[in-house]
Amino acid sequence: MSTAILDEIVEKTAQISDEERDKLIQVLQEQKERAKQNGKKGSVHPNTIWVKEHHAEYAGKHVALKDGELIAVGETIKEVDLKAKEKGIENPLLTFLFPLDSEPFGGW
Amino acid sequence: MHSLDFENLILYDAGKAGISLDVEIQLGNSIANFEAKIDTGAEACIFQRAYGEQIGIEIESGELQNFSTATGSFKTYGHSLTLITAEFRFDSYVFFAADESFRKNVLGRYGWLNRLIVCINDYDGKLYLNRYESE
Repeated sequence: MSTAILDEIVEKTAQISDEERDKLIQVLQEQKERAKQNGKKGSVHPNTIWVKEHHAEYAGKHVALKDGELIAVGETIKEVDLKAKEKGIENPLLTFLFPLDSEPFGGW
Repeated sequence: MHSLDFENLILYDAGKAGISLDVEIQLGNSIANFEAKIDTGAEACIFQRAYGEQIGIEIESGELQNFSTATGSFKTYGHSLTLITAEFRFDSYVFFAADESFRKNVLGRYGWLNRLIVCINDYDGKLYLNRYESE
């Protein structure tokens, strides 16, 4: 959007009533939320990004993650769960990173 | 003699195919609900892509992971989200099938079975679930 159009919108908002301004704020907030949730790129959890970037490094290990950060690494889910608890981390993602190029069984 | 206590009992129709559970997945404020079958042979939780898209996930932005079956293999993408089954809620790393025609939803080992204690009494159609508490 050009600066001129934006200036024009801002100028016009100075002329509207409080009720109309509240409605405009609500519409803008809804648009912002929709863009965040369903924008072109879609939503990606920070833990998903971490797994993509670090899988090779920790392949074959269990990991505990929280908000895209590594909390613990171990050989079993129990080991990483206990390590995360020791660090005071509540409800981390506990997952296993499959060995690279493996094809785990996906079910019948 | 061994005994276990369970918080949750789910009655299912033992006359139907498979043992199914109501599943809710959540990312941010977006939620999708569907049924998934418990599959102790599956290494992970694998869902059809439409449910991931329903909660705003761009499926291909996850990490590519191939899974094998008795007859071949299929492509999925892994994503972190919140998984809710029978009031048990935790963050899980699950996989969405790349192929839109994939219609299976399974709760497998990593991401579900290893987060709960599960007891199945298929004779009576009873599924017992409990949260795992570290000793």
